[in-house]
Amino acid sequence: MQNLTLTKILTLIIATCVILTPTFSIATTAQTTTSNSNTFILGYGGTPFDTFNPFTTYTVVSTMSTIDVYDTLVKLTPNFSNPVPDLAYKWTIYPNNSAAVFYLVKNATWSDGVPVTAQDVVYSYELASNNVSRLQPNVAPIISVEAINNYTVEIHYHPTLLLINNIISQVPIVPKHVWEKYVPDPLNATALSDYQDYPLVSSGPFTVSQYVQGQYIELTANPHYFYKTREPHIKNIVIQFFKDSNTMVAALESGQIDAVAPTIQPAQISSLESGYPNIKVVVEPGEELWYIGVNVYPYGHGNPTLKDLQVRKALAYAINTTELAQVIWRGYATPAAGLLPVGNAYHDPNLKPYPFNLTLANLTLEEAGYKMGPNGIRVSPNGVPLSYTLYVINSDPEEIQAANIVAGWWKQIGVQANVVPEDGGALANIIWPNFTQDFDLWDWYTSPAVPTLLSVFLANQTETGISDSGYNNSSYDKLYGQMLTATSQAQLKEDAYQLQAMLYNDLPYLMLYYVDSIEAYNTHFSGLYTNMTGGPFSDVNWLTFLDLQPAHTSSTTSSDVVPLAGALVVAIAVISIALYLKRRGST
Amino acid sequence: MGMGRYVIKRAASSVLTFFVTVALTFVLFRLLPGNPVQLLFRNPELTQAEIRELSTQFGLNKPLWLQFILYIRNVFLGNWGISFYYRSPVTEVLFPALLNSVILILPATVLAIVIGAGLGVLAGWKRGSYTDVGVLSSSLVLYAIPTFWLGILLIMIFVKVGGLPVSGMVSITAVNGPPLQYLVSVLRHMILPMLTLTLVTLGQFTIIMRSSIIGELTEDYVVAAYSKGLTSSWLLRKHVVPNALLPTISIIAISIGTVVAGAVLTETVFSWPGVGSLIYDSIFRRDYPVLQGAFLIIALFVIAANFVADIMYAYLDPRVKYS
Amino acid sequence: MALLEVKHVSVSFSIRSSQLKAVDNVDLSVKSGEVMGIVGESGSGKSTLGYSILKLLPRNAAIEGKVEYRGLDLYTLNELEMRKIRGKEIAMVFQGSMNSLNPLIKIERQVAEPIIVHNRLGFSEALSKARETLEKVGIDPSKGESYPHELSGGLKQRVAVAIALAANPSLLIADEPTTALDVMTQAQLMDLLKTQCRQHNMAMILISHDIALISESCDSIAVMYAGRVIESGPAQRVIHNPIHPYTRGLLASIPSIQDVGKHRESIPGDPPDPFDLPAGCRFRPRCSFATEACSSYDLASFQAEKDHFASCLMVRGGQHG
Repeated sequence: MQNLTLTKILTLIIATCVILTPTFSIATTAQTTTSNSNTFILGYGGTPFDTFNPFTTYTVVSTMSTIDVYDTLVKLTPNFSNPVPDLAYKWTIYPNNSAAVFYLVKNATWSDGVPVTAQDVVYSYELASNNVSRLQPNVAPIISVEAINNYTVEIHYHPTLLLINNIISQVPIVPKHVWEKYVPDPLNATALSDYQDYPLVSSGPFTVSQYVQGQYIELTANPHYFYKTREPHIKNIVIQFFKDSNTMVAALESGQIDAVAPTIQPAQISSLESGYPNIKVVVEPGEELWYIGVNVYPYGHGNPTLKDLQVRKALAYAINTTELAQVIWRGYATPAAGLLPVGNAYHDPNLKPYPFNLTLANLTLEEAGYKMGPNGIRVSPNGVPLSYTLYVINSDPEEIQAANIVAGWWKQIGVQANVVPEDGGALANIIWPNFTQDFDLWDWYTSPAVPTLLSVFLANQTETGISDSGYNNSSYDKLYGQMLTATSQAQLKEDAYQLQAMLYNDLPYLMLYYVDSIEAYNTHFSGLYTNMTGGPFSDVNWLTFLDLQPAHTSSTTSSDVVPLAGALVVAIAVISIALYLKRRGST
Repeated sequence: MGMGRYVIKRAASSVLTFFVTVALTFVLFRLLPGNPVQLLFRNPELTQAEIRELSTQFGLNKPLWLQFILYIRNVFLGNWGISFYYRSPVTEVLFPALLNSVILILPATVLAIVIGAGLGVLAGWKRGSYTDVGVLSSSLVLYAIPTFWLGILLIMIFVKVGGLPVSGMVSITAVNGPPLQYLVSVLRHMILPMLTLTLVTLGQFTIIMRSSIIGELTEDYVVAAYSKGLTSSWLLRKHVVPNALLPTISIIAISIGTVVAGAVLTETVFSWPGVGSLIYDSIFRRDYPVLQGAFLIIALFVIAANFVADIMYAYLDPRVKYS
Repeated sequence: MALLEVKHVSVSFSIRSSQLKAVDNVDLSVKSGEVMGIVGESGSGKSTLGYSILKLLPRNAAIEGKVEYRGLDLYTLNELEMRKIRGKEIAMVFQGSMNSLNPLIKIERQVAEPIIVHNRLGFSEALSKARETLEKVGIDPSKGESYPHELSGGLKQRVAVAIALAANPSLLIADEPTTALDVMTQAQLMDLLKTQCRQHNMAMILISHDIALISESCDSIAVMYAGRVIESGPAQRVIHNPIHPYTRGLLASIPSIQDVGKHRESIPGDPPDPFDLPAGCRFRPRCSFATEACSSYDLASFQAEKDHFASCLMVRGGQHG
């Protein structure tokens, strides 16, 4: 390596960088990616995108992206209580609640021009019932789906009032003539599983015009959309993927993106609100709840004292959910009582969180015969100490902190809890199939339109790796079955409330809080539908993208401030280094 | 032994190492607790039937050794399996991410080597002087700086100052544009992450090169060469640096080899769609096929890089062949 | 005018917090074409003296005095000027046990280096001249493409000599060139050196601990002990009429074939600890002729006969040299 050549190479590299940096900045002022009034850029920082196939995807970002791309037969109002027309403009549900007829619009077309017909609907419902389809549990009550004619579909099903909310509004209609080339038999699991569905053919208000793996999805307004009153007001929507929420918020602040969907942290809210007047933060009830699952499995290998309801009650009295919500989520969470979150249509407002009362907790344990042992840990009458392992899912560092705080409270009532963070796979292995845990601090996401999260506590869910409490209560199972086949909405709601009350009393879960959805957007755009569980950008909000438009007082922000001063400093530094090296080389 | 036989011997050894590595990683991944099916589909409404179906899909029901043999056979046939998470072929998931990483990391690594080694030569040659102390301490500081901290700092600065994109690989408007516009867009997006990566990596090369140079300077033949009246430049070029470079070749080769492993911290901070973050996410998702594919590539490249380093070493150091 | 004049040269090393004076106030004079031998035990400072002429000492060495080459004080020169001296005017051959050849460079190139730098020849011209030089030192030029590790010890030393001779220096400093070589090779190498000196009218400073070697090859001799030159003069005079007891002891210890079986004299005791030198004459603890006066002796040198000096009080009627 020649010294002189090295100097030359270095100088060249650095000079190139110095010259090019401002050049790029200047050259690309024209092609900024911000505040172009025809394009709205949404940052997404949650679980990465997997596939467009609406039947096999398990990510929120995928369902969120396709909610205005694929149509369903009907959609739900923002409070999830009523259906509104989509592909079906009219429908009849027979009084026996086991048959329904849907009348399709005649002018809907796929993006390749082919008309949407009843055959597409039949095919789509068959796909939904495929063994690997995530909608299979939803469509389980369906007995048959038939095309009466090209634009009429008749559905027979086991009676359930959840038909609309859990089935009809959830099953996307996909083009048979495109899909059957890859999935000729809609019940073939391998074929469905392997089909990535890109590029995709759709009928909705937007089409997917571009997808770059790991980077972004671009949606473009569909000029041939059949529903004229629901035509989009914006030409392009880009969903850009971020791996880090700090970077995502920084991009919002610098104007490189126009909004952020989940997740942003409560900590970032204050700096956004104070420092950036043109950025608005939207907080709405969320779809997520956190809890501490208790191992009450009759055949489990956890600490047997947990099977005593008095112990669980005492533990519940020793958790200050209000304080936790404040500390962990800075108030952007609601202390929880019933299983279903506050934004869910079947949330029971009458259930109140367990009061935080250490005296009562101590008393409960004392009276139940758990005497304080020598090292500050209570012992059962059989000599089993109240000493537990509290597993926490390690995806959120804040929740590990929450676990530690809870352990601190429990210590004051003579209960020892050893906090152990684990990743999902390891935790799943600990719980299933042998139920060797005592507690698991975890979360659920659940659709706000249905109460079906309650199925977690069915006895048969212990083998499926869903029930982490191992709750085994035949009256619960019976009531759940009843709820599914309730004959009136009032009854359905009543049953849902009752189920939640059972859980509230039996405490297989120690509820913690329901987390708010926190999103933010640049006020250069308006029309976001905010008054809905999950906020403007969620997998259930189909209205935002339709109403989105540039605000009237929009201005095109110039994003590129050419850093001349910076370039000058760098240039001086480079020249100095080069000169110094040259001089040194000659000694 | 002659050069030819040496090459063949090393090549055979590399191939063997490769297979052992692949087998080991295959087993190790399977040892991680957690069943991918359970993990992916934490859906309360998933039925037993579905879980069984999916497990069969992913071949998780077969015995481990059979899974391995089938896997090796398929690799050679070009079938690297289907990603559990993306449900697309591993090659489709892995290769774009790999390419994205290489585009970013290879120039950054090369730059880090060139600048780092250059500074190391400077510091070693001027041992004890202020230059040396300055270079050494700044290298140590750079080496100690956490990657993500530096990345976020740069992002914060450029959010205020503007002019450079702080995330992603290419701007949406440029993707469909003419190739030149695409290239310029990628280059612009590359600047900050590459700066971060280069700064954080160059420290180690400086320190290694510096030690190597200092070691060389104490050698007798350097004094002897000095006595011939050669200039410092000549001494450095012909006697000190080439000899000092020899031990660093292995490290350089390995650094180049691990380029394909991605740089997970940088990629995460800058949302660069590379293979580092893909691997990271796949570990959590227990997406064995992707992990297996990634490790296959990494093993291949690192072993190949080592092989090249060995051959280069033999070529450059006349003493080696006769060992 | 002498080719090289060493005037009152001292070399001190800073080792930790103390100073070690390796060379103490040495004076030497070498004429063109003269072969001067510097002999002494290890630790006498002879190698250090040799290195100090070309300013090859490490950074912790402090040098006092003057080294005048053709009247020019080398210690006033900067690096650039000094480079014109090294290899071109004065060249050095290093100890055989040292690794003075770069293991990664072919020997002919190493020989060509001084030629390229000093004679300003192009690469291929320099290379052919290098091969000629190799031939001169008795190495087959076709071996030029070899690497050092492929050669025997003797050949490597020849290469070292070739390197030193390549740019035709006027003075050669050979530091223990034959150490680590067997007797036959030793003789060959010394022959080579002497021939080259005669052929090119080149002066040589031959540094060695081997008094026999010095006595056979040199025109003049300087004897060093504990950093000082304690006796100097024309070789014949010093050998046949040694004055200093140390010199006498050295000469007496030379073995000869006739002496096999006989008890050989050696000098009792060890050289002094350089950090703790005795007052006055440094040889006093080992000297059988030492007197009271020796402990306050200022080590001045006295002339015993023409050009023959010694630093010893036994020189009667001597003058300061």
